[in-house]
Amino acid sequence: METAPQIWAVGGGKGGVGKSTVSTLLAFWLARMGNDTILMDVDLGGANIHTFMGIKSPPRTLNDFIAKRYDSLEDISIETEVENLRIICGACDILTLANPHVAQKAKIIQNLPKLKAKYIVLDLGAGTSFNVLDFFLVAHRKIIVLTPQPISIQNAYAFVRNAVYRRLSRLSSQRPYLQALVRTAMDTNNELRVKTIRDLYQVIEDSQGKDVMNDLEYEIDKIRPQVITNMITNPKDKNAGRVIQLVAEKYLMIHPTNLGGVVFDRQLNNVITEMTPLTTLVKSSEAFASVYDLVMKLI
Amino acid sequence: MNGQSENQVNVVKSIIEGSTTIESIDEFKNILQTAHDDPALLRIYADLLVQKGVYEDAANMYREAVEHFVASGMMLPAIFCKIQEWSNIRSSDRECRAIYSGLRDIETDEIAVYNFFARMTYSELFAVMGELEPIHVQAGVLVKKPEDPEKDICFVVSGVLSETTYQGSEEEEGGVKKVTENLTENHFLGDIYPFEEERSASSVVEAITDVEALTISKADLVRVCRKYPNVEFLTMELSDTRSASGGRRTYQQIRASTRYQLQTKVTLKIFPDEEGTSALVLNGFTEDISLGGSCIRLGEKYWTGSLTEMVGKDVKILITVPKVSAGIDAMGKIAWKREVSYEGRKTVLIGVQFKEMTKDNFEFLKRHSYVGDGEQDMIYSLWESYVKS
Repeated sequence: METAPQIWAVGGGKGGVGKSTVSTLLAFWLARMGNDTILMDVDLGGANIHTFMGIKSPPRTLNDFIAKRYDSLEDISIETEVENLRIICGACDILTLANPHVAQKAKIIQNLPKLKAKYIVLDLGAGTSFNVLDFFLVAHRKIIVLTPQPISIQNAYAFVRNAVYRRLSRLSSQRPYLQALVRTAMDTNNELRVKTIRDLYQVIEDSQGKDVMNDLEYEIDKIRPQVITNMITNPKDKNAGRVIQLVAEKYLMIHPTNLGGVVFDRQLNNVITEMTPLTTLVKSSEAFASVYDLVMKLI
Repeated sequence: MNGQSENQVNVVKSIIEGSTTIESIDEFKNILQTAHDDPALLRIYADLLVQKGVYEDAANMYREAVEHFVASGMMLPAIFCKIQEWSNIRSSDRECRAIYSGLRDIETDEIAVYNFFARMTYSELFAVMGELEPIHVQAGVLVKKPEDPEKDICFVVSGVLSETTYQGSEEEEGGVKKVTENLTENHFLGDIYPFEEERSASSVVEAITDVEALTISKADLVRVCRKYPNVEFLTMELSDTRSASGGRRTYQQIRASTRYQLQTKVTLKIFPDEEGTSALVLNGFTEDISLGGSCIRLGEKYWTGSLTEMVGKDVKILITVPKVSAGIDAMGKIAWKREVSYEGRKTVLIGVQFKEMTKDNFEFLKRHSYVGDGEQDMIYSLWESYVKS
């Protein structure tokens, strides 16, 4: 019997931290381990995964699916040189899909489980727009990529924070008063003086009752981001994930995992700049080896 | 590493981090077979043995943990375990001499707390250790608030506390500034010297994670110092490491400005130096924005050209923001530019410093910070402690 694919989403807020690189390497190893894998570029404002796989001009993209030129996501998937690995390219036309309508995004999300693969790796775009967050929240594995610089850690944290509030907002969509509370709390200088999710839960318990609060807490606790620090150049760098862990535990009451790091690999950087397929590096790249270890932890 | 040993490593890690609790001695023994020299694991096992009432085995396990902590150069966890060992079985003089020698051999690396202990004589060290009390503080507990009397010194063994002080006054230029610092392992708190002064706390200290610490009361320390004057000298030196930085620690600085992410479309109008030349209009996306300025990634097609000449030019910036129909506009100056590789493509980042902005726009940016001050401060202080080389 066929089972629905497991979805891994790779996000992180800031551009340039290596989300696409990490996504590609994760998908590569999943495929190399014998799993049917699809790497899907949902960076709808700046699709580039195809170039990482050495495809200059993809014959089919998500745009074709949205425009109903193809009936299913399966139909727009493209075989790659790596056995068991297919890709679904993002829309290259920024203007068309950078801000897809709700219905278009929903169409993509609803069709993900229909893909015939064991794993789907979603490469999310930069930023924390609802479009990006909704893809993140729908995934079974919610992976955050950051680099050890403080601004990157802050952006990654902002991404997680927004994901938590987005989920809270969705969960409270049928209760206008509750949703208003959530929206108020999201403003960091709100008049309710809510600084943490714990404070928010208290306000909700006081106004809506303990059962409502418990239900929300249960759902939010399911958001368990797994943090990968990319471009590590010294051993302390991989503690960047620990920073997210501690801040999220205190302020968001969720429990991220600090998965580990990917070492900075100059070779990889050069290959990306030259637009050579990343997968040609497999035997000599330290970054590939790092990602192998991460995949072993994730499967 | 094969899958099984990988799993075992993960189990060990999760036990040490506290996310997994092992209740069975036999199960723990099995796990120890793969990590028998990990002092943190040995210590947790010893705690379990105490819970189960197997005190002699617990003392042996604490002793083993002490040896490994000393070998790893971790002074405070070693002292912590030694005291736990003593609460079960007293050590022989020979064992005490061995730990004394081991602690003195640890590289102090200018760590004030290490210097405090490592420079004591044998008798002094054990007099102080005899008064130290291990404590456990749960995450979220308020440890200290302003005006609380300072009555002990607390050495942080593990975990993270935040210490918030308010500096300056309303009358001064700049007003009251809130400064938050993190206290992690090898830091200490407690402002009790000179002993004859009755001091009170000037900060709020809160446990961010579960914390283990060793405390010694002022009364007990005074008693030890009467017998061993060198300990008072070392206490004074330890105290000076705080006052040298105006009562604050030297390891931590918190950034002042708020910077937050608002990735959105932006249009730049760069004004020419010479009259009669038309302004250059560029498009791009913001990477991040602070109240002081913005980092902007220019659209790909603009990456070539005479960008060097841009630096220093006045610019009008229009940022598209969904909730503000007219967008946010500001006058500024291009402060820097950098050519970067952005996910495989060459592009240009420029930094714009804001010079003028309407009050409404300023308030909008301020209110829509995606990360609150507390979170931001915590990120930066943890980064200083955990990541910065």
